[in-house]
Amino acid sequence: MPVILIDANIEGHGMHIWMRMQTVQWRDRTTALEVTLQTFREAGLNPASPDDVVWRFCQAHGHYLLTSNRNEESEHSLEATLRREGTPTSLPVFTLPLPDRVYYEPAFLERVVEKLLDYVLFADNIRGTGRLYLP
Amino acid sequence: MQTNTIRIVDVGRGPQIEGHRLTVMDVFYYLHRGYDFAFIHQVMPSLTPEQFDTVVEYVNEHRGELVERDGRVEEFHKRGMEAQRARGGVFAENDENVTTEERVARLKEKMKHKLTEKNGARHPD
Repeated sequence: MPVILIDANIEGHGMHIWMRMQTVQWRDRTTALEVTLQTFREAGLNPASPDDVVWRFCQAHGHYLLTSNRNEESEHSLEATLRREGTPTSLPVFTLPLPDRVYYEPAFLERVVEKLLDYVLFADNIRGTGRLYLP
Repeated sequence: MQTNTIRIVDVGRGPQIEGHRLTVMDVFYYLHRGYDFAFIHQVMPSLTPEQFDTVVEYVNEHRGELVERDGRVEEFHKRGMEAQRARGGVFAENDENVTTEERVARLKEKMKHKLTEKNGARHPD
């Protein structure tokens, strides 16, 4: 069952996206793909965890991290972890680079939902890609 | 720096709130674009007013440097998005001028196609 783990910097957006996925238009597709969204606490992960721990947790549990991560390439950043530890079969990290648009542009939110479900549907094709952008 | 025992530290991911995953850059993205605490708290419900105040204090002392960093991050994501979209297929940007019904319908079609492919692979005859 694909779990999308919502990073602390995007929890509100994650809930917004999840609510959209549960509307009458999208609910059947979300259910058919068995997608769920979870916060760190719901997944049993300490919300203070550093990026490398989060990334390894996702790989170990088969979760996709959803983030708007804006750290640069310092030693323990998510980007450095992706480059250092990523393999051709690693699960990607979903990145929302323009997060505020999710709140203000319903059409943008629709595109994000569609792209997220697309990624999950083509799960085998997206392994090893590191970071994938939404939408 | 320190405000009511809340500190900004750098443990290798840029300045962040001690004991929390949230970084200064996470919050600065919104501050720099004119959003207030009420909005930022909606986005990051785990951010307390005290933590926010500490970040604001840090921002006021390092604004120029943070603006530069924000620009570099924007550029990094822009390049990443362009490279991803150039791959096409599932990596391409989805189009803007499509109704929700059309989006749902085409996803349904892709799911159906994928299922057919899967069944075909299982039963090559």
